[in-house]
Amino acid sequence: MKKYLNLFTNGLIKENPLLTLMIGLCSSLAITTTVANGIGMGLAMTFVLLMSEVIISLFRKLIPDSIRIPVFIIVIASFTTVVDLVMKAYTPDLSAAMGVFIPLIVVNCIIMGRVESFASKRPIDEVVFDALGMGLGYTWVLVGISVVRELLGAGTLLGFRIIPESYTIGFFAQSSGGFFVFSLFIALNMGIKKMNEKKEVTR
Amino acid sequence: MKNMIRLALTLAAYTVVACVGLAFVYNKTEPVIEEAATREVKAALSIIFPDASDFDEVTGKIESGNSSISFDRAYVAKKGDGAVGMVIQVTGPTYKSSTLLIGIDMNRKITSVKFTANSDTPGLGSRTAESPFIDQFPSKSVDDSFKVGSDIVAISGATISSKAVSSIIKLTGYKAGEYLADNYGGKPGDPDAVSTASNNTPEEE
Repeated sequence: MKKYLNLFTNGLIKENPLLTLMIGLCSSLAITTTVANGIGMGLAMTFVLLMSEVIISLFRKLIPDSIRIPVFIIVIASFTTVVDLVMKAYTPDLSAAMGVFIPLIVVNCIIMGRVESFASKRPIDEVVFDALGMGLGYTWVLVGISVVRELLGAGTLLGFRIIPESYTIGFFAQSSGGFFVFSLFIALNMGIKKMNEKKEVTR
Repeated sequence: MKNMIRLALTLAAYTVVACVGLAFVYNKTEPVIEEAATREVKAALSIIFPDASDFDEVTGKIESGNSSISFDRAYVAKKGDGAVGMVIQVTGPTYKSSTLLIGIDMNRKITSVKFTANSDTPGLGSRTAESPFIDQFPSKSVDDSFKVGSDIVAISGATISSKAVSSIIKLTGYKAGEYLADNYGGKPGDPDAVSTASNNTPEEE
């Protein structure tokens, strides 16, 4: 049980794909202007990550080593297309807001990285927890950044106005504001990790 | 050699399975996507002609006379039995590509221009979809020149997008005017004026 918990929390803080491994940043900075985008992108990404890792872990003995990358790409691209089609059909507004970044999940380094370094070598039970941890690790950072950016940049949260329009700070809606908030989250993550280490030492 | 064939067959097998799966999902979602797109267009139509009671889709294709600009859909707005104008959805090359809904009334005037898709550079070309650029077109006659620098003010830094959008609107408006004059008794154009629309194509990058 401990093993699964460790695999799961690994992705949340210690090896958070965005804040520690620092991969897959492009989409995360581009779409975090509203909370709805953050949640949508995070969940879409988690779904693709989970399904790809599961499939590749199941078939890992049937994938010849020399053509593993093309096979990974086929699996990831298929699930990304599924997400893209389903979102276009049932959440057209969200799909329009995120535009090209949903199809671009295919080339997101987080998925390729986890599939290559983890799912292609481990059994399925470990893989599920790793995928959920990594996916939710990605999602919480996205939602966190987008809460700050939407609140300060547009004065709303999930579309509801919190701060009057004349008091918003446009900087946070721009990409430079995205980098700024992102770096604060890296600092926060570092702080949490330091605190955890101290706890381990004193124990 | 044997190994190579084995690898190729393995890869082919994965691809076939993936394609079958995708085809299945596509079949399930495609009608829903189509329906959502039609609903969005219908909603946009009633904003362009708020007093129209009905919109008839034009069944035959209207030729744009330009290979790179295509009229995706066209609707004739009707009030009672008479036509009050028409709306054409047009896709054409701008800096990248744009899709617009353009409304034209019976007097050869543009009533409204609305973007439904725009893949030009965000912050530069994409601003052709926003005020004040887009506000220059409503109530213009399709016989105006639509030339950037004379009757259209371009967005600085996005001259190519500005020119291309202007000429797409001009061409669409002109063709719509002709169509309304031929079929619904709209105001005919000046027969002596040579159509400049087809010569005024956007430059390719």
